[in-house]
Amino acid sequence: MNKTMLKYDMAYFIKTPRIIIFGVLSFFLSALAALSARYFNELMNLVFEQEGLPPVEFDPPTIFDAYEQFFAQYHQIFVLAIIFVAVAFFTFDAAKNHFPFMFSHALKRRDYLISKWTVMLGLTFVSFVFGVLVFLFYGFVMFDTLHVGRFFIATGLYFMLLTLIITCALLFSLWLKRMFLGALLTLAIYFIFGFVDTFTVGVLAVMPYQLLNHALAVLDQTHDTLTIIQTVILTILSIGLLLWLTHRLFKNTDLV
Amino acid sequence: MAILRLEQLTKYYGSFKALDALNMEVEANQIYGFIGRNGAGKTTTIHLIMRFLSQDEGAIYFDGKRLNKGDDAFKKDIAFVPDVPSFPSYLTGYDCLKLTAGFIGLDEQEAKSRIKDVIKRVDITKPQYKVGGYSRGMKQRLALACALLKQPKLLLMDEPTSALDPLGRQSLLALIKSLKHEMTILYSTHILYDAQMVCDKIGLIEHGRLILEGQVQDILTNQEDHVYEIQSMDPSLVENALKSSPIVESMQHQDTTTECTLKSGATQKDLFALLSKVDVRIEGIHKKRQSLEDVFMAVLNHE
Repeated sequence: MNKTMLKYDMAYFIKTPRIIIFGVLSFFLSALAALSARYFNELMNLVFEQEGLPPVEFDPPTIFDAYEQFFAQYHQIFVLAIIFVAVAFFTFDAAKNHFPFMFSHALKRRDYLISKWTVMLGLTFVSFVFGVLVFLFYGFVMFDTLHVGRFFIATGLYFMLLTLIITCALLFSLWLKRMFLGALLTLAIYFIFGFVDTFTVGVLAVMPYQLLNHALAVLDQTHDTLTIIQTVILTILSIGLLLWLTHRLFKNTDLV
Repeated sequence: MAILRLEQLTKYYGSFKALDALNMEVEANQIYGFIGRNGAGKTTTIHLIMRFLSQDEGAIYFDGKRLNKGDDAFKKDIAFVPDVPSFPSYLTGYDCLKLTAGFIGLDEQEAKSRIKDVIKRVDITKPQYKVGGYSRGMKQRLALACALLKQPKLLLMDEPTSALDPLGRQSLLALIKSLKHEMTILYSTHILYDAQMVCDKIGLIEHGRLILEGQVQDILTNQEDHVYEIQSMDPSLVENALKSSPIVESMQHQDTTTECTLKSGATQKDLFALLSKVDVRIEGIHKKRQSLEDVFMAVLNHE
């Protein structure tokens, strides 16, 4: 791994407000997940009251509602933010014509790719872990109970899905060298994943896009361990394949 | 010995042939002026040497070794100054130099010392400022500083003075001249005055082919031997006499002066003999002092 390339890529986030935005977003989503789950009934009845409707008796909220809320928030908002930031980051050098600055030196294209992927993944990991910790704090304060082990496994599985999506973004960005097209194709993959994850027959149950469902299943203990292991292996293989493909494409790409 | 050799270098952009079997050699420790109009193929050639692009045919040899696809090790000895340098706007000039030192692989002590040296040498006045606030000229200076940090054997410069003011241009030309003793420079430009000022040898590229090459002094002297300025009271009579002569290649006149280019092999004596037959008073004849621009125009017109 090229240390200078890592420093260069980290500067993109550290010397700009992007890292703060990520921190704020993670905090906001995690805190909101716990708070909205805890006060859902009160919020709904407040709305009904304003509309002149009689109050409804809901089941009392549990920590499981908060877990579901957490994954829903992250899968609907955080992923979209990640996709746009990742594609902007991956296409930044091509769009701004920075390649001559780096590739005038004996920098291998493989090292360039690994650095981009590692830094983006690192940022996602740090902000996601921060979000998880914030959620655990608010979850415990609001519900007085937690399933820390299960929650960590579930978030670990979900992070693998994030890694896969980031790797897709890397492939499309460096192949097409256009932010718009890179984002469009990555979003298409994200929406396709969301559509096909309802099919769980046979081999479809171990497809990488099932990771979110597996994460939720781990939390309510309805999961099948073997299926999860198979999905994880398939996801790792898919990530490896995508990285290899990205390297092959980028190696043969003109830099100017 | 040639430090850089291009053999039958060919590059297509779609169906457009940007380089057409280009052959070229750059000798060590000289400043080679790579001149040509916009779109002639100068930047493509440099990008191919830097391996930013891949050629369709031909080969590039640096320091006797053939450059193969995916081979980047040679870049330790080559530096490049692009025509429009671009650096991340959130970095300072000093950050860019530090990163460059990292890419080169300098240790911290060596990096500090070299950075200090190049900042002074290239006259980077605001290294602590963010590059986003730099003018294009300042970015060109910064790109040159980054290149010099490497202490390369070969420095490729793609129109490095195009964004500089006259003072900046003069000082950069002086700097380039002083670098001649330390490295070989391939200096691409369409500012012919600059090329004439600093280059030892020039190659003129047109439609992706080298159509003229030689030592600057030789090229100018050869041309001077063939171009004469004739002053007379009646230039139309002179023109009539020259027009039908087999020794004259071309001519043009302005006011009382007729500029005449002789064919190769024709001498000053032949011209005198021809003019002696014209019934007009000749005020003076002298060889025209040629600039690189005159040569450039003459060669391109001939092409």
